[in-house]
Amino acid sequence: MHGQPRKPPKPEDEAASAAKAEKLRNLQSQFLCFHHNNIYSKEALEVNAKLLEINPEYYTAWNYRKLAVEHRLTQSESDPDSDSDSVNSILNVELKVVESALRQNFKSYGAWHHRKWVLGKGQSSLDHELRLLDRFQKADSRNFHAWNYRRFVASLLNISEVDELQYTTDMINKNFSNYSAWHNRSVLLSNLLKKKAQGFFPKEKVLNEEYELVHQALFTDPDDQSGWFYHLWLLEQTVKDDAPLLVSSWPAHDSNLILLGDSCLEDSALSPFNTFHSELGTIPLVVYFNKAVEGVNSSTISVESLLNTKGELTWKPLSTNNSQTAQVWVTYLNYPDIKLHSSEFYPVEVSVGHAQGIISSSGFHYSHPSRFAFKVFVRPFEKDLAGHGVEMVSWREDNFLLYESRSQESNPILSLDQLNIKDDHEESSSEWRAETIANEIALFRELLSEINCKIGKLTLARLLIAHDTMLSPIANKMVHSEEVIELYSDLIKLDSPHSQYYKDERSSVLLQQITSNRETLLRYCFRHGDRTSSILGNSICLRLNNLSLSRMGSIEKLLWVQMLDLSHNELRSIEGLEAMQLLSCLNLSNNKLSSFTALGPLRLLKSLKALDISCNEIGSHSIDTTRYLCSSPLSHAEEIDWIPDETVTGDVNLTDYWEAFLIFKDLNLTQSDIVGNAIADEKFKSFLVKIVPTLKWLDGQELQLH
Amino acid sequence: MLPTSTWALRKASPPKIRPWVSFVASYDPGHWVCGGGVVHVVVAGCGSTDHRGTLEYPGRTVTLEPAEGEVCANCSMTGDFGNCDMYKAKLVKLLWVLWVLAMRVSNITFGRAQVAPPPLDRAWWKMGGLAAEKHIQYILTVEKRKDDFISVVMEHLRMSGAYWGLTTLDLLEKLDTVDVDEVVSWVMKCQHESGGFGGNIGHDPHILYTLSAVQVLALFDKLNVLDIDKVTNYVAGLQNEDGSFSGDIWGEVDTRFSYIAICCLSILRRLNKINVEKAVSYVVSCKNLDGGFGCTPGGESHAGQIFCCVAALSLTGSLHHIDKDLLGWWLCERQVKSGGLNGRPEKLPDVCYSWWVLSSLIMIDRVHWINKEKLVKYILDCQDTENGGISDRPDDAVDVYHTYFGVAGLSLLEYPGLKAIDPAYALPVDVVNRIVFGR
Repeated sequence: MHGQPRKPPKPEDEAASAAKAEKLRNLQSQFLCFHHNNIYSKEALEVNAKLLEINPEYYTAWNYRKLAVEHRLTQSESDPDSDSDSVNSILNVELKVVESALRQNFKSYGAWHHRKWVLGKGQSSLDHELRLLDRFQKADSRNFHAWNYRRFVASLLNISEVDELQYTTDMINKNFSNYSAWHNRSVLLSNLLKKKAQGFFPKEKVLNEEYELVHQALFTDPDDQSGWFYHLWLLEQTVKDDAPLLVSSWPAHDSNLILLGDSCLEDSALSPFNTFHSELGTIPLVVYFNKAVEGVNSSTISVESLLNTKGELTWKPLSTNNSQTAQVWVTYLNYPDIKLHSSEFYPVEVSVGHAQGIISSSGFHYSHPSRFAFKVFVRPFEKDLAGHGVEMVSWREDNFLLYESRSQESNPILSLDQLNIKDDHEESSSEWRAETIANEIALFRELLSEINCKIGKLTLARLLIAHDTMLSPIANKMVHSEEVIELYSDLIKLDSPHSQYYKDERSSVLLQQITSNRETLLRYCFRHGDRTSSILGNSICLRLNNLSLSRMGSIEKLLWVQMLDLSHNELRSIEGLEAMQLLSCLNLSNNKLSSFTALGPLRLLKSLKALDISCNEIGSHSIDTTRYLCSSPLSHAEEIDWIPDETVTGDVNLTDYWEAFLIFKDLNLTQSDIVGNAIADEKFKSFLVKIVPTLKWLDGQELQLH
Repeated sequence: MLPTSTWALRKASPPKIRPWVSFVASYDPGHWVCGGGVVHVVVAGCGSTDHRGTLEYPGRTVTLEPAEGEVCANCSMTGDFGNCDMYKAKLVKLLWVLWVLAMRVSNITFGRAQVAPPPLDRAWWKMGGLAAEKHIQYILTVEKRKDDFISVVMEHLRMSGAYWGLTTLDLLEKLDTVDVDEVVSWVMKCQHESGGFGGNIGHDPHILYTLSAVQVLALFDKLNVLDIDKVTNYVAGLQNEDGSFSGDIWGEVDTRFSYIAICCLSILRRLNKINVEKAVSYVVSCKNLDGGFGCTPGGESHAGQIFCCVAALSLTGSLHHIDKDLLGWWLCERQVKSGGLNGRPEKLPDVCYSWWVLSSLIMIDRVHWINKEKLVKYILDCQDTENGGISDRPDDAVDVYHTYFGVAGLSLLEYPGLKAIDPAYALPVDVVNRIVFGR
């Protein structure tokens, strides 16, 4: 029931309602009687029509009419006197019943479908339909049933998309506050652009006109949302490439990777950023695209190297729900079986997309074949150190010293620029983009000088980010980052109900700023002083703690990180962290993680050894917001192999802890901190110790070995 | 050993003297300031903020000036506060409870949201936030009422009405007031020989009511009365070549039916009986450029439809097809000034969207982008506190549909005293756990 005022029923109303109810009840029972006895007489159909006029939602009555139509059509077929007129008259009655039902309730799904069903017989004239629609769309220009029906009729009548586009223009000119019209416009226009229809190619001119149209809506009433989403879509159309693009990799292009290097390595010619230690006997090779792609395999990416002696490489999508589409893909290069000369560099060359097959989820092919190369230096493994055993990693403040880089060493950011793939776009196209964005920025600055509105600020922030991204599509030099951060800070105050949205956006920009160049990034790089922690292949810890981050971002620039401190932020999720394949130590303490399923990305980090999730909100919430983002039996993505063994489960009901079981069972953690979460009682801790047999320290305490 | 925290709120007798109260924010417990109406909550935890958004830190002087009929309360904490952040989760909960208590006293000031005191004839402030008892009574009487016009008009969807009413009772932990055998035998009388269920006895089978019937049986843990294969065959038989689903034999196609088929078969543990890949690709083909979904390809985004599509993708592990930030922004902009949610841009708010929008935001982990407190208040404002039930907007006529969506919305908002509900199955979490984990 919608929009009916709440009032105590008056006696006379009650009487009227009872009388109406009685009438309807009679109609309904008469109708059901006819229906159950398959009676399709004139009288029966009249009862049915009366019923539908009062209650168009009575779906069984529509079904009955369809049965009746079929019954009568069959009859008229066998009747030698019948002609097309009699068929028409049968169907016309139906169209009339629908019309009167729609007058009663034009949101009736059953009525609209009945009309489609009748027209689907292909016997009725369609001339009346557009007039009918005009009437309904005038009465309620946002009725989505009518719009859906319009698309149906337009396709039956073969009305061109260009004509329908004109219809949306007319509707918008009548009243720009019509989201339905803007929506239909986006559907039609994107089809026309995709088809490169006449007059819609190249897209530059078309988009310019669309910008003008939507400006009228936005600037007339900035608080009216009708044009907001359309403008965002235009912006996407302007700056985004359809084709997927490789944005980064690990190892990075031109880097010298030192394999098996231990943490005592102090060779000044070598950068600790590039030292890597693996117990697994493999080196991960990670490719990071700007959008999710499928079809990454040994034929679409070729790897030439002495290291890979075991035949074809298997590429795995880094996807938290087991899909075959992902932005990040990984494969593993085997350590040489042969004894390599320990003082030599072994080159590896990777070619991406020289053979077709890498396709974005929207169906666009990878069209910028690219190549990157790096060298691997195998350093002899010092048995002594290996036998030394693992020690606990401590995150204590005094263990960290700001990293002082040496000028000659390679750095992780610089190499990204070298990966830059030659832009083969036409000059004119990129000029047009730059001009359009500059124009938009100027317009929105002007709007903001007149009126302080949230959509103006938000759009300006988005435009400035688009501008900076366009300047350097891969390195993301952030010219405007300070201004954008300020805009988001304003928005947090201006539009407080959505403050967390702006905080999340601000966090992304802040991370882009931090990772935009070597100097800023180095301010967050620390040397971990705890030399004995041989878990680490290098001793560089990236510390992004205490930054009020509410989400992670810019991970494509952090693929080299092995030790990451994200403590004392406001993280609710760690989406994207699955790309950091080298990560072995992670501190997530003092954040807002509220469930184990939020840790889903960690399941893909095979080298993770130390995990601190203390002081979060795990166990404090009844609603789990990442329940469906993590693959589990709930989403049919995987089943849980319950261990029936009593010694493992003890008195614990596994169903209570299925999320923890799912996350931790595949991790080979040696240390973990979970204190300060509502779930972390003694019972849970003993459960955790049982399902993670590799665990040596829990909450800073060394575990007694059984 | 974890430090412990304690808290309390004291309601004072009508204050005679209302002094200015000054205290130093500290880690010491025991600051009590009492009045009689509005409650200011001050959390003396380092790094947190007070009701005006000012940062708390030890040593800060806080001055509270209670006006007529106000209560000033200070949460007290004991234990080792070496790391205050640890308490953030607890503090949130605590604020929540205080806030609910405050609702009983009168209106509440939080940040900038100052609302006029409720008129005296509005009884909710006497009874506390959610008028649970009234709603239970309302549902039980509606169930029995069969003679007024509205009841007759709704007769064809009584199966869905049963699902809305019974799920509401279960969320309020009152399902045991219902005669299980009576409900189950009625449900089974609505089953058609095809395996599908009608909206009432003698009505045609439809996928809509088939899901409702299965959900009702799941609530009572009575799925065993079903011929599972028969129901499965009915649902699976409605899948079309392109992966979409028809609502019944008459061929209306809609993404609502895709969700219903997937949810129904998930509850029956028979999802493998349909072509999931095609079902998913049909849903994805209804995705729009604003990130939302429509009934059929090209259809306008609508919060109800978005719920169906997001839930269908959730249940099939296919959420990667969604641009979560784009859809999340569209969805969070459904919150209007009153705190309520609408279903499409520039439309009026309606309690039912507390379910459609909220559950979608939860499934894509973007629910923090709206203001939950304002939404709770909006839903509570739509209660009929005299006769029970919840309506679409404040002071409109109530119905079972909106009562369910209001209570389910509050459950998604972690309102105290309600069972948690699963955003995709639209059943209480314990029922889903029983189905999925066999408990």
